[in-house]
Amino acid sequence: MTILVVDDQPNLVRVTAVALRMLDCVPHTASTVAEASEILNTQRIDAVFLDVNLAGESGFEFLSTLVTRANPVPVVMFSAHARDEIAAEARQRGALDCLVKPFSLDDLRTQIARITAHRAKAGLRPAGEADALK
Amino acid sequence: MTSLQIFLLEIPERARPVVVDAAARAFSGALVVDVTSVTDAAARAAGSGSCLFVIGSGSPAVKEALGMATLHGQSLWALVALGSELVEGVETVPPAEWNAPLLGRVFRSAVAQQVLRAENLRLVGDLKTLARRISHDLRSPVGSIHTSADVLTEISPDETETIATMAEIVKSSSEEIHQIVDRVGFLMWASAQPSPRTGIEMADVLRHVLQHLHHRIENTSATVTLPSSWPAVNGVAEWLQVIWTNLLNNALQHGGAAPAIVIAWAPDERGFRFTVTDRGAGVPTARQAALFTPFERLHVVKTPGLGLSVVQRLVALQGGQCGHERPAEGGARFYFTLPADS
Repeated sequence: MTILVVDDQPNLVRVTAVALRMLDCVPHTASTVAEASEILNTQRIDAVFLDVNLAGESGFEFLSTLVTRANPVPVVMFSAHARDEIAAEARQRGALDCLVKPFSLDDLRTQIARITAHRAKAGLRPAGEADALK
Repeated sequence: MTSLQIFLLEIPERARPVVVDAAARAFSGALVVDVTSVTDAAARAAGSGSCLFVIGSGSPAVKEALGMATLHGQSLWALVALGSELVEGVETVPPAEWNAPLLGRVFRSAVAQQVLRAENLRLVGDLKTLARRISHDLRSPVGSIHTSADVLTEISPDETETIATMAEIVKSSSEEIHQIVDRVGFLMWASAQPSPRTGIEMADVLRHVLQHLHHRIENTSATVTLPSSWPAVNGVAEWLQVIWTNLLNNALQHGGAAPAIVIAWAPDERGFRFTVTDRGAGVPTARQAALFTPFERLHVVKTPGLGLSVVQRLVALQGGQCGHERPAEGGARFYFTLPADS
């Protein structure tokens, strides 16, 4: 599974990428909406892990863009705040879930399983598999 | 209270001499200014010290002035209305009580309340910033350490490259936490227990800061040009070191390859103006407004770091102001002022 990690905290992005590789995922990383958009336009991405608070940008606004585009992509939000209203807004805007920092490998495993189930239900194949069928 | 400004708007003509007399009795050196509107007063009040707004109680501008008395979490002015029409939430003095001794007491009381209100708003803002922004800022590096530890417990011992990456992330995340705790702790102590200002040789402060930054200056091949002389100022040496360190670190980071940094000072109308100029790419226009966001506003405004908010608070605590300007020749210039008084 190919996952785009969008967060403005470089260390968090790096460690999430390493953790995703351990879980047999292929990570791409971005620290801004512009970088993330560029990757989404040029790469096949199965899911996005997106921070609620990007420097000077709203993760929620980008979430709305991601879930309403022609090829919607499943999104799991990251949040530094363990507050119900943030998780509620994330889900209301179309996120699969909202993961509160700090998160563990098991938390990421759970989210990947959730994304896999969601994609299967929606009849979506993983990016790598789709490429292999071309 | 030399920096007090008293704004007059639509007050009855016969009240004017009494108001001027009362202002002179209540405050030494207060500046009485006729303003044309509440917006005009707000523009004059921005960034200045305490302000008193005296307005005719029958004026439709009273409610506007009341609404703007607290703006963006800051207390702009104390408000006193003159007239027979009572206005809810505003200290209103009826014509029968328009005499200088009484008005002077009303003015002093209103300004004292405004000072307390401003302090209260700042403290509440500080608490909100601590509760929201700081917890947010700490969670990311803590999260990086947490997830790194988790990865390390599951990783094969022969994956040395990943182990090294994790160790490096743990180290730099710990440093990030240390820096946040250090800065916030310093600022909280400085705000809660302000040190008295004393006479300081700015040359000594700069010597100390440049020694501290010596390695970074060498590693970036930076050149730092200093003025030939320095003024003696009234301030807090430790705070001035933090201010200069932040501004110079910014110039070293954003001043381009081999940064050419110019440190200068000049007298200004209230004291001294100190500048740090670099020839880097400059600050993008979109980011300029939030550069010196007051610390107590960091719970609503997200900025990439805390450094310039720390500078803003430490300069304000010493009675000065700070800001950014774009030199005509390019780059960025950051400045702060210090009053000449003791």
